[in-house]
Amino acid sequence: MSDFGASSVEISDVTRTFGSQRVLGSISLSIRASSFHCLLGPSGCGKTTLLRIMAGLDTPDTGVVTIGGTDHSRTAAHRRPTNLVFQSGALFPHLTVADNVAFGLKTDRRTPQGEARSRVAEILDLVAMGEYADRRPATLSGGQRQRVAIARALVRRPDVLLLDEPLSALDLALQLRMRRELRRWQQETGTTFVCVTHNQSEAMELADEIAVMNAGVVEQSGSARDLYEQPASRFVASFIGENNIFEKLTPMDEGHTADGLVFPAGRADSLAVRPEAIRLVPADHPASRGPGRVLTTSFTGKSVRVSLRTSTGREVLAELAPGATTAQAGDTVGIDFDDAAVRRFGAAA
Amino acid sequence: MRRSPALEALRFVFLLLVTIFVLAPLVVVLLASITPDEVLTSLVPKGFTTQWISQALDYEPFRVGIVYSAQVAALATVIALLLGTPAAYALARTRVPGAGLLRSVFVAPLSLPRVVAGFCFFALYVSLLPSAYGTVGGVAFAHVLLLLPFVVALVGAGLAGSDPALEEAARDLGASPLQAFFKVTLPQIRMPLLIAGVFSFLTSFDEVDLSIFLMPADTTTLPVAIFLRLQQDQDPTTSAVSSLMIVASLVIALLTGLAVRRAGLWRTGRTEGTGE
Amino acid sequence: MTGPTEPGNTVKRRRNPAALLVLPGVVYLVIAFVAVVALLISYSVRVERTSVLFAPVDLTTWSTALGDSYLWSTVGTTLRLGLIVSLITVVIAYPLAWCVQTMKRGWAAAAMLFVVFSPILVSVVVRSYGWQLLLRTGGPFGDTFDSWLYHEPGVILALVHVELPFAVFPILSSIRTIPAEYTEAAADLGASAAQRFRKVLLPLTAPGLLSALQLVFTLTISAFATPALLGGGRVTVLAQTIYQNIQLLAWPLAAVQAVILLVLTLIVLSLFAAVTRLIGGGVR
Repeated sequence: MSDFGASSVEISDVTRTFGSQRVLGSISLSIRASSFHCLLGPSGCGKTTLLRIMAGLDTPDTGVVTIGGTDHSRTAAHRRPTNLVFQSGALFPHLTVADNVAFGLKTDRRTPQGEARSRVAEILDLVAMGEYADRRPATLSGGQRQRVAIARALVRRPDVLLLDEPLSALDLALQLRMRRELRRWQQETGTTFVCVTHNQSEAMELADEIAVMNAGVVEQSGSARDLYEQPASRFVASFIGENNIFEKLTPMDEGHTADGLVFPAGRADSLAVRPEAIRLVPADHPASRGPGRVLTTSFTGKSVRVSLRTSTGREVLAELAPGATTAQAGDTVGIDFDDAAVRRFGAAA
Repeated sequence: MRRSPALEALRFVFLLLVTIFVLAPLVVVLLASITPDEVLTSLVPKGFTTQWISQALDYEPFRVGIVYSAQVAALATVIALLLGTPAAYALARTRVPGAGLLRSVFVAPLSLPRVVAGFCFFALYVSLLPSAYGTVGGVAFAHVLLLLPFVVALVGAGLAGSDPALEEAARDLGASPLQAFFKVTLPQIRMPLLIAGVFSFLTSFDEVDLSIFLMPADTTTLPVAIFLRLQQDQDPTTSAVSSLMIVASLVIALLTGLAVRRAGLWRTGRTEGTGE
Repeated sequence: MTGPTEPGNTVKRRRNPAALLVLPGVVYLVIAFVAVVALLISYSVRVERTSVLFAPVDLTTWSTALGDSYLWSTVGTTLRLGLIVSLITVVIAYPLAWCVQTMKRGWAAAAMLFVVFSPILVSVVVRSYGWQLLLRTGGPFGDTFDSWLYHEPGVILALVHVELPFAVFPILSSIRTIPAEYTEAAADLGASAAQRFRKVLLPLTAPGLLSALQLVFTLTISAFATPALLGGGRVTVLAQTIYQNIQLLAWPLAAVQAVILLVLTLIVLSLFAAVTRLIGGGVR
């Protein structure tokens, strides 16, 4: 399937305001050709607006959108080398599956009819919807509709395929299966995929690179592993995976203290320690960084999750290997972790 | 998506023409009722007078007609709301056997030509209830046929837009079915009820095609009185009483619209406050 | 909730009594519909004007009425007016609904909606009278439109005015059910503005267009006051002849004409239902 397009996307200093509300505050982002890129963030962070700006359905106040080296900032949606998969699918209810998919091939009249037909068949086979070609959207399930929506966008062989929360309307089991298929379709077509999602596990499973967005800015962009292990901000640390966040570091004789635990010396507004980095030791153990009272313990199969409360009332989550502790609710234990496991944010520079 | 200026201009002209077309016959009636001339010859009023309005209010058939129409409209509205609201409630919230059929039965009168309905009620009254002919009750009873579809549809839409779980919550908290209806459901649909009531009242007040079959020519509702007078001749008194109807209708419509808008704004204002 | 209730009692009361709430309305409609079917037909198969409930069946009125060319010319006028008025009205209403829907300023859209819909609340008699004033000789437009009053063009003009809101309403509702995403998706798939309209918006609003046509047509063929006032006796529709025959005490003939009007309405309704099924079959 070498006929599929693939372009890089370069977004420079894009801003967007709705009325008095600043939705995007100077976004710059590079998306590599043929990569799977996710825009991840909570609702209202501006990720969908950014995607719609790439599609040409929304216009930035300032800034430049370059696709494949060409400035497309002012190109109308129907003349862009991009195609969008809507959150709802937005399949035309009056057309059959095949006519929906063929829609974008008929609009520019550049594709001969015979070729259009074979391309529709080919793409429907790719998304395993070939046998539903003559059905109407209303008779399809949610997952099938989303497959057709993706086929309808892909059949135009866009340089960049844009996906707006494509899986959020599906149930969890289906989401997990569709993630693997999305990844496979991206690899088979080689097209650049840009996918908006609020689900961090979805982003981590799908993407080569993730841009974490918050309040209209990109907080950090990088691989899933980078984001997990080297979060650049307190927001990224708390949004990607679980984290124990501690505030207000106060200097002491030896090192510093925050929330009733002792930390290695150093300046920071807040600190983060992953639950799996925490060990439980006897309360009087010399390695203990502070006491914690066990609130609850639960067994999840792969691990035991223990929630504790420090002497200042801060709740701390520890994720331990099964059998690593015998602590019961009500026990008081010592909380321990390696210096290297501590990540610091703010004031550090 | 941006629009071309030429298209914008075309749109503006079109909307302007439609506005003129829609308002012209109403404006001309208003003008005729305040211009001293017997026959309105120009759209620029040549003076101002209230004599036609006072003459209209002195004219016996109109005076009788206003009271007659108001009585009919009030009675018909009350009956339509009393019959329609429970029906809409039952269709929306309970399992009624044959609900689909019943729904279309309640809308069916809309397709019945009003003159045919008028003839039928006329036949019904002369055959079975000669005393109902020409009475407020008889006319109102017939009007209910025209109002019922609107009441059932509007109240039904209101009920569809409100959450049935609220009523169940009220029941769970110890309210009787009646208490739950009056304290929880009714407040939720008070705007649809207001709209249905106002619309019913004005529809009944304005009705001609059906009413004209049900009353003798000497004592009639206001629109029928106007119609019968127009069949003989036109004079500014008719314009005057028509103006009163136009102004009253539009004021009532505007007030209702504002009331609904305020209720709507108040509701969205609250959700905005609690949102993120 | 005052203490324990006996189980037997509870079970009995669970039988949803709320369903009975439809009964009063249904009883009323049954009376009305029975009056329509039974009395109307019974009156039409009489010869004498009589108000007795049961009269001997006699089809003479039917045979004379159906043999009368005047009746058929009235039916022709009625249907012709219905067709012309519904076409003109819908041709105005369709772009009007789109214009209102795409207005950017909220207050302007609200004002336009008020302009379009508020005439529904003004009596048909008053509105027809307004047209009389506008069109009559010596009136503001009397010189230009003198020949319209008391002729078909005047009747058509006033009827279009009366029915316009009824045409805008179903079209506007069908436009409002189309999510903005459909237009966006079409644009994203390369469709120009004209293509977006022709291939997506028009097919999706076709059901609204059809119900507007149907509504205006049925309302127009049964209109009474407007043709009576603006036709000036020269344009006669079925509804007028029914009224006139009652005035002339020819009740059986009026009943025959009422039955014909009712049948015409039913035929139109079923025709439109068939077409709607044909066109909109797969949409939902």
